[in-house]
Amino acid sequence: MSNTLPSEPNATTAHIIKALEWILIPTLFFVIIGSFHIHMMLTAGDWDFWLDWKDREWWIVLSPVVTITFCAALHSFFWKNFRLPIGATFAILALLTGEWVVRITGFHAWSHYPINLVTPATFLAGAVAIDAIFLLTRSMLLTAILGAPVYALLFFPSNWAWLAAFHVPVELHDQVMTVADLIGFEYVRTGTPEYIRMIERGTLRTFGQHSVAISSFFAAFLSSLVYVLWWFIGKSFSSLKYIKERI
Amino acid sequence: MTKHFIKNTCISQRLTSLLACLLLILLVISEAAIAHGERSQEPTLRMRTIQWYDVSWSKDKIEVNDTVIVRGKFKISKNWPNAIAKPDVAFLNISIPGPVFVRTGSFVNGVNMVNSTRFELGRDYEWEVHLKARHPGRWHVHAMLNVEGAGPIIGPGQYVEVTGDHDDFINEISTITGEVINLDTYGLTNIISWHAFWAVFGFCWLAYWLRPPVLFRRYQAVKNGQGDELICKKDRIVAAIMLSLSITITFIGYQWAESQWPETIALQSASSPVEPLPQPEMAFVKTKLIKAIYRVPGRSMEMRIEVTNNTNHSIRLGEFNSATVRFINPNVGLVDDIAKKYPKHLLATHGLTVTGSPLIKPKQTVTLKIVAQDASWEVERLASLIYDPDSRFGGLLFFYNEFNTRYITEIGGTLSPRFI
Repeated sequence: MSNTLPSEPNATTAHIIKALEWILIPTLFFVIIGSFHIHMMLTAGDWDFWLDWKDREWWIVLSPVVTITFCAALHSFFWKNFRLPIGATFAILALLTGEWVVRITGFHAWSHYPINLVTPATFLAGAVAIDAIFLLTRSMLLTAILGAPVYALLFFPSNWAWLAAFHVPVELHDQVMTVADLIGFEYVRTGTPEYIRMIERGTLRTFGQHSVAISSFFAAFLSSLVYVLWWFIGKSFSSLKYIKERI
Repeated sequence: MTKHFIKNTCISQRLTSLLACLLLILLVISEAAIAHGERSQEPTLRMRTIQWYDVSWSKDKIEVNDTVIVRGKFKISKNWPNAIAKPDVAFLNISIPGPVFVRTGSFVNGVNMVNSTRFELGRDYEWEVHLKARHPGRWHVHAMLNVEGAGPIIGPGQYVEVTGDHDDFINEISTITGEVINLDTYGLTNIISWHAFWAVFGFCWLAYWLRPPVLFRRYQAVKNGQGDELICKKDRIVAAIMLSLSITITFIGYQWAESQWPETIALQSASSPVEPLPQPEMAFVKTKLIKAIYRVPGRSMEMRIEVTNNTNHSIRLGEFNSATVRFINPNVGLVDDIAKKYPKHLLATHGLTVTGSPLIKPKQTVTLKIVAQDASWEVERLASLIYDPDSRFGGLLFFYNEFNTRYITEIGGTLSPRFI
């Protein structure tokens, strides 16, 4: 990081600025935790809550598409104002912090669900990658074309490292299922009956059994479009024009 | 000024004390919500969809790791309301306060009910759910059927007390690949390791950029048109390294998982067809509703019905069962052990009066006047049926012969209210 800055403030000003930033940055982090977490619950919802919803179609398509939103908006905010290429990582770290707090306290400690049933997906491999691509290209358009697809394509393989164990087959009363299905069946959810799970419903598996690849590339395509849209949403809302009269 | 300030302070102190007292009183008098809101479901839904009967709980007190079996039967009402989605896609569930038990099996007519199924109107099904105790406590365990488009339809509930220690709970199974795993903790180390690794990886990237002071000075530079000078060659090298690392580590993690668990399958989801219980070609007992009224002041429902006995023995009406409430004719009494163990609040042991010809001889057709009267109409919030958009009731009538052989018929129709 370059130290080429316009002017060095005096010691007192620098101290105040530093103190203010120690307040501002965590505050922003908490704001993103709250807003992004609500956004995630309302869009990906059950796909992110439950282990036995993480299928090879919907989960792979939905998750990157609905999370690249805040990444793009924060890219715009941090870059336009501070030349910081950290929007995606900042957003995803905030999201995961909020998710893990809720999964451990609300789902596990309060409602008795085992952690493995309620583990959220991780997006950090893609987040760091898209941040890095953004810095290297320094272009919103190129990041949408190159970075957003990389973000989506890294989603499944980076999660498979912890998820694969739950796709080992088991038998319950002569019926074959995955360990994930079995955990979902055994740990009762009264409000989540089996039939509302959307497991590979659709036509994305047309090409034999390559659902993962098809879904990932479809997610990559959608992510590019959503990235551009949310870049402009981020740009529009990271402005002082809405509070000009009050300053 | 000072006087005014002191006065305000006193008022706010008093208000705070008052609020604290109110909060304390609320904490003392309030009870934990431990049931499932079954009474809040509208009567139409409870009386005319799933007619639960013979529901029983194998035990009411068990230890952690022990199993309780909840079993029973239900008739899918032929009077199913038009306003409620039909059970073309339904899932046999159990209503408990979270996974305080684990469901080790559930069956309808002997078919494994891991998946959803379709039920036929007017037919009977026998079901059971096996629950292994996981958390100590006193838990309300309800039978429940989820119907797509209609939501959960709750059956009767009974308290089951679980003793012991949750730390002793074990939920081991064998995978097809031969591994013995504990579902409660399976994969946790791997989950935590990968999530923690990526979190540290992401945090390193943030830490590289976000070391205060950073925002104010960078903002100033950007606004002065010097933004591009803030990015140096070192930044680009670090970015290239992080990009390479994220892709490489993802690839390594994926390959590692593939080598650790080479045999994996996709999530399973299917519909399991279930045949209903066989029904006799000819109805042994036929019933026809002539008129039904509900008397609001008396909390009683009166029915005039026509009954034809096609059996070879005399029969008597022993019970009217609707929305899990059982109105028992005291002249017949509780016939079986299941009835004797039924939740007391749902059992009106003197709730059914039969006049007319209580003993119906073989091949005889008679008209009976039945009165189902009990506080349950109010307590279980069934009386509000008359305010539903579809004021029709439904239920089962249980007839018995002298050998206690039971004949079940379904009854239903319009219900007229009487307010005085």
